[in-house]
Amino acid sequence: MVYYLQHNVALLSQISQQISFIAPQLSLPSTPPPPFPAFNPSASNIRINVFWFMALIFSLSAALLAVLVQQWVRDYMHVFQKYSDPLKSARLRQYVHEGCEGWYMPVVAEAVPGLLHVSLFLFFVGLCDTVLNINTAVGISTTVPVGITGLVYIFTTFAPIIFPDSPYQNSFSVLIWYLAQKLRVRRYKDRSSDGTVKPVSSNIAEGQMQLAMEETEERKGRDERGIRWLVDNLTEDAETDSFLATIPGSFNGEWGEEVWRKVFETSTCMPLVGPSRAEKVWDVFCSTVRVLGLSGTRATHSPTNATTLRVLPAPRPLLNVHLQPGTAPIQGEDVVRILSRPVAYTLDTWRHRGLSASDEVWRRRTRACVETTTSLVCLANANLDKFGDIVKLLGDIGNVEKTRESSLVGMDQPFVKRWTCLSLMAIRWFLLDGNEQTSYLAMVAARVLEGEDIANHGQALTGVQKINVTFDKAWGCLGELRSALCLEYAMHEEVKQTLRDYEYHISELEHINIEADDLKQLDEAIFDVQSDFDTISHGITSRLPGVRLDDFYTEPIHFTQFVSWWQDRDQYQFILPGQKLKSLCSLAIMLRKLLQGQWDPEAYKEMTKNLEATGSMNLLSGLCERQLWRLQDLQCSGFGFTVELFFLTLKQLLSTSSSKESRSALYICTFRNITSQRSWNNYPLPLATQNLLLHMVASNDSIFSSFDFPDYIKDELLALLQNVFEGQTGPHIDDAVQWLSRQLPPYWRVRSYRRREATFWAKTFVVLTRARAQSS
Amino acid sequence: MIGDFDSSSNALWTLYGKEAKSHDEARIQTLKKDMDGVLIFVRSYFVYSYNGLYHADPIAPIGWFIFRCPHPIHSRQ
Repeated sequence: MVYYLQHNVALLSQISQQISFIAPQLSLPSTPPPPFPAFNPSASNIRINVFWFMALIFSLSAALLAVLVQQWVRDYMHVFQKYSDPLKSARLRQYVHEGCEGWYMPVVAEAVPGLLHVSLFLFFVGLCDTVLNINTAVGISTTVPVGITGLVYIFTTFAPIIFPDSPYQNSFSVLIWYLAQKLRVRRYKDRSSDGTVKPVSSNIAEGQMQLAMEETEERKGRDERGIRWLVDNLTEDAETDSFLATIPGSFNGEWGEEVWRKVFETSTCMPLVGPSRAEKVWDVFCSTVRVLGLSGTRATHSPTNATTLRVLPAPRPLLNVHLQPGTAPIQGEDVVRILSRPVAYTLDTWRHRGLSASDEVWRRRTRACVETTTSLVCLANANLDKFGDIVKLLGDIGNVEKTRESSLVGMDQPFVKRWTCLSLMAIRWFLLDGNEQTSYLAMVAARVLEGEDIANHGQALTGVQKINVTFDKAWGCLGELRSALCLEYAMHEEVKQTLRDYEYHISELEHINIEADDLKQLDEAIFDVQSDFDTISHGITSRLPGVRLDDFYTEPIHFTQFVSWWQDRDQYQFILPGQKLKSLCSLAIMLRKLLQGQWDPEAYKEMTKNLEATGSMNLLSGLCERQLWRLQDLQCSGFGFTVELFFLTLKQLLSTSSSKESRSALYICTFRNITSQRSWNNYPLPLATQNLLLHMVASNDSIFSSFDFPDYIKDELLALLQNVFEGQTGPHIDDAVQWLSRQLPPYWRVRSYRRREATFWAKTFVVLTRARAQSS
Repeated sequence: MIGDFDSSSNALWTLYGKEAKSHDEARIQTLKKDMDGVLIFVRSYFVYSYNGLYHADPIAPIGWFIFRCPHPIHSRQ
């Protein structure tokens, strides 16, 4: 072009000269135009042109590549239309797909926008150069925004390397991530291989996945916010319903429980996002500065310190737990409210529906509701009242799901556990609300047990003492007979001889058998309490795992009935003493038959075996006394009764559960709920309740000496005892302390004595003596 | 061992095809959109620079340029 321009100028000057030849008379000024200045491109001109032409080339190649990629993609997608035969089509797809990956097609496609970015920045640089040469003011006002844009671009390139969750990335961050991961900059704990530390994948998307799944405290927070987000965004009732159905599944396992607890604990004014990224950037900045030694030793916030502090468990206020459970601030109230409303609604709608076991929907719904309610009550400290009367529902679902049977074989454990815990809490609050019928019946039964002449003689325990004497007598006879009759005596004559020697005992038993008929009234009274309680609790008590209800024996009464009761005697809270005596004494009837000459070696063998199974310790006499305590306890809201029930069921649940430590949170929550001070309507607790509690921890026949409960629940019980017996005195406490002190090892054997029970007894001893000391 | 699937395996491969199609389509849609974006960008860029070329002022001091971008300072009077 320049050439043409110069050529034009030359031609024009030539024409001008020719014209001056043709017409010389015209004295025209014949000064030739000044020569065209020689063109010397400056360095900046060359620079600018280099930048701009490169920019042009880059953008055009990006366009070319883009067109090509589109074409490849189109070809690739043709695979699916080309063949109708699925095998051919599938094979071709796999072939082409592997080619695609092998030849890094995704990388090429990723590079295309990168080319464009390069082109753009080349253009920018050229532009800045141009305008700076022409005018400083315009130049600066152009360069500054361009510089800022460049910085932003550089930030987006490196942001995902430093903060892998950053959404800001571009084509070059992928490359830099790849390089960084080749140098193994970032590592994570792998979940699948026992937490070994591995470098994060060199593919950025895969790396983000690995980091998102890494088991950390932050993930817990994210899970928690996820759930809260979900709760916030549920709008329709149908959605809420399906949400409810999914909740129970998410509670199985420790992680789920902890996350939910956090959901409930967190106040809703907290934002639904994690810690602000700006803070993170600031943290990174601060630590960089510190590393560079610029901030010296003044840095106060050290991330390592913070994590150590977080790892340390918060000190648990062991003894105050029971004092202020009701006043604990309930946070996350909205979540609880949002969840409890539909639960209550669902419970309400389904409660009045006719119960039919085949109704699968009803079953599933109710199960979900029960589990959700348990979790809400346990983890969120929600009030059971919010859900209305759930006792009937619990009874119904317990009946359908056969909770007792499942618990025996260890089936369906998560549900059984939650159902049991919720039932216990429901029973506690239900007893507390004052159901006059039960307490009236309990009163009647207690009167009978105490003996009618209580008013006349002012002697407590007369009835019980009478029964105890009878029990002792019967047990004594049984013991004599047991030691006399051994398996070795297989011959009829030998046995007969022995029996003749012990005829006194047999007739004694026969006598007791007749006496036992007098106890029928008492049996009926106790049976009434038991069955009435079961009826108003809608059958929950007969469904609770590990708890049995006593019943009248059908005639003829067998000794085996006594033996089977004897073996499971822990599981009965109510005992019909008359029935027990009668079944015990039925031994005498068998022996009398033998004596009279009806010899049956098989029956004899079985009888001696049963006799052996009864054990040698007389544990009968305490039973009636405890029964009296239970009845008295039930008259005043049944605190001790529920605690006993709790430990009975817990024993059953733990013995079938695979791991003893699992679900500890659920049990602890349940225990705290049923023993919370809200549920003591009078302080100090009635004597009977105190007696029940003391018996549980300090006696030969207690549930604690027959089963080793895990430490977490023992600690809870000790804390409860501390609260209950603070400042209490009385012979019953003295007795318990004495019993405990007998269990303690002599001081010279303390070191070698490591039985777990002994530790528990020692702790109980300390708690009780300390409580006693406080009163004086 | 040489052999092949018989026709009874078709169900499996149909499933494969379905899965692969949905998988590939998702990826390819994003790819296509990216490429469209690039093309649109380049087109506007090119039109702009072509206009610059067309309006190039041959007598300007930097007339050596063939390719120029219009700028308020350089626009033809």
